[in-house]
Amino acid sequence: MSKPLIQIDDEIREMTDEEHAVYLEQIKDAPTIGTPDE
Amino acid sequence: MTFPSFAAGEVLTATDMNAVGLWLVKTVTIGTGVSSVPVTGAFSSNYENYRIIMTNNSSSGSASHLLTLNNSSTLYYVSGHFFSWGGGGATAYSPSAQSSFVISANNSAGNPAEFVIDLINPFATARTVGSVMSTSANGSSIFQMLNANSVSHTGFTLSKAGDTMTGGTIRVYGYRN
Repeated sequence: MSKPLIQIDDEIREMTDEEHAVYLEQIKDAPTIGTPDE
Repeated sequence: MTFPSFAAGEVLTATDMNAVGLWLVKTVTIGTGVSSVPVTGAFSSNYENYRIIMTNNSSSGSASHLLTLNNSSTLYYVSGHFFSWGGGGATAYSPSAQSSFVISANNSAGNPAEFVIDLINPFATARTVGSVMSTSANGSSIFQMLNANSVSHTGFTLSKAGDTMTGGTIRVYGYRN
């Protein structure tokens, strides 16, 4: 399964395993606040 | 001192240049379909305080945008309110400690978001505080920010949980000490 894309300066690529672990930690308790205008 | 005005070929004096209050430190143009944009080399001993102005042209869903300092994964607090355009009251938001700063509200797929962020002392080995004003197609938010870890940071990451971002610009400015 492919991983999300990460952008560092001008380089865009799939996350490495380590970067993906960091990303999952950053978003682990992320909310969606407000009511989207669907 | 009045704002200096320079003509082509004119010598830039130290007095004039040392009066420049805001300096562009870093620019990143957001590409297509990215979930995470680490911004490296943003903070240093050159400046105590920074302004970050970000735009995100579009994202794939309604998750809130997140900002994470590069050397801290805990003790992120925001407190403030978010609003919908065109009526309704303010909704207070002040959650318990999180793993990133929540910096936007009322997002929706395919729509833009914009941010004006001030950070105090992100490079110092001290807590980092700041404020963020954000707008989206559907509303706005104003939050105060605290990362309670006494840690020095050199950069940060803009991300969204489960969504992707396309287009926009991140600019980091240092306030002259």
